[in-house]
Amino acid sequence: MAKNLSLKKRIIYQELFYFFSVALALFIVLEIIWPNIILAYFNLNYLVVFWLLSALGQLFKK
Amino acid sequence: MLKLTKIRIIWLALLGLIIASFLFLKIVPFGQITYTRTWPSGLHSGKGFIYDFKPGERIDIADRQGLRILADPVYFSLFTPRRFSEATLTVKYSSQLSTSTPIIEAGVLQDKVSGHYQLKPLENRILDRLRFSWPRLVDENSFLVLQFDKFYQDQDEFFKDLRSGHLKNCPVDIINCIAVYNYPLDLPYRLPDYQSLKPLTITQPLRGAHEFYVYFPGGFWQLVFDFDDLNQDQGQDPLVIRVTSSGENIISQRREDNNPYPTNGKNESGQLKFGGDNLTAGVYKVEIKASDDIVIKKIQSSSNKLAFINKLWPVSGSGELNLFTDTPYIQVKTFNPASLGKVYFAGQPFNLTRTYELFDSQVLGAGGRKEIKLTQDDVILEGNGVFSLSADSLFNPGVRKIDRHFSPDNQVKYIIADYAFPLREEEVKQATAKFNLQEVHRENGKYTFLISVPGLKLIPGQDKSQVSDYLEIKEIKLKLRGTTLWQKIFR
Repeated sequence: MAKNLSLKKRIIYQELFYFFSVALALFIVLEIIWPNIILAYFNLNYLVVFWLLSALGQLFKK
Repeated sequence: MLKLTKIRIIWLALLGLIIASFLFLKIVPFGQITYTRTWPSGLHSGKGFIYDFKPGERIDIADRQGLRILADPVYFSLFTPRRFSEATLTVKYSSQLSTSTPIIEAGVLQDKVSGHYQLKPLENRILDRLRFSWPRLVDENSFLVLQFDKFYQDQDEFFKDLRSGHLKNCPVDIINCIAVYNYPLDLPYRLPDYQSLKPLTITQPLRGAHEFYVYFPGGFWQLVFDFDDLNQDQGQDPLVIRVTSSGENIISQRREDNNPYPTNGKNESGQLKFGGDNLTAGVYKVEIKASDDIVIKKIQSSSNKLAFINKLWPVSGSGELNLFTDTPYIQVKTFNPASLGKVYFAGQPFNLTRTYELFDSQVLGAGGRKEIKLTQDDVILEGNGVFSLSADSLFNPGVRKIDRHFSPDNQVKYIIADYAFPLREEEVKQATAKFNLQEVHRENGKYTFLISVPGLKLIPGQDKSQVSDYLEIKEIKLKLRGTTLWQKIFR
């Protein structure tokens, strides 16, 4: 049961990390093509922080 | 495994939705969007669309309750993800302005080279006052016609008389008894019969953008401009000269700068010529659109009735200079320490003691021609009227414009304005101005706007918290309209 829960948590951290990585990459590409399209609405630094947290979470779960 | 695929489909769909939302906001498919900036500003993550308020020394946001404008003008940028054709600017503000600064205007940068702004009124307390003290002939939407007394009962009769050039109680010339505000009024100008025209050569160099009126008697006409590109600044210095009549373009020429990154600092000379044999007699307006790196060395005109509008920047370094004007006041500024010193306006001296600062001189109640004596040129002269380099060149076919120094005298009998009064809700006022964005300057996705309170100045060295005259902005809202996606595709 406990092992199952830990696996689930790991999958969540992993999927969150993938989500933030793809989002960050896409937003940066969009920002390069059309400057300010993202930054006007949303500060990418927040996303970088979430991406780092998810990456750290995944590392510790491993 | 199936669960993992499901999770991935969900977050990929979520990401697709987020990207689609950003693309929607980028394209603005329905052609309309509103951007707002408020003070005090709430929690916001992005950079926003209205930002970059400058120069910093003219603003104060110390108490965070509003953006305080302490000196004139203040500029800001509007980032838009695409081009729009019209902007409606709504400003909410509370005013702590004194009676010496009765006008608030907003503008958008029209032409970067000449620094020309399309200005629109936000508040004019002179008109707000006169609206209740003078009879109103027309007060519809934003169109206002005021008369000193009830000379006219019917607006059709007034406009018929205006077109024919004879208004009631204007015995001499209707130009002298009308004042306008934000309203283009072109009245036919007739040169008095006793005045003969001669060719004119202006050898006094003039720096940067200028506009002038010139009267041509009909038939042959000629204008020749000799200019220098000083190459003191890096970047393009194109020169555009446009001859217009009643706002219609007659002829224009553009000289491109083929040396945008000069390394040797040497002047480059050139010439632009205009002329013909079949011009209708009348007043023409000539616009010289140029950066401050361009000096017009010589102007040759087939007519000596030639007067510069609102601004003159003589520059030669050769010393004393006498000029003529009809403006009731002048504002003088210089960037050159060698040009500091005394300026005589209508015989009254005043001192130009600091560079980069605007100095005012007013001759109260003085109309007609006045002389300006400069002990050293390379100063920028500004006023609500015309300037000329010789007494017989001076003429003013333009109607008097209401500015901050305006006070209704015996001569002004009618006021025509395109001006909507600000709405008031307790201490906060709300004013709106519409701008045509079709031919305005847009660089890196940004339009440049300004808020101007003519005459609002900071005393050098004064602490910002001690300033008692200021305009406090609470909200700036810009509603933009443009072509829709469907119009773009199917046009």
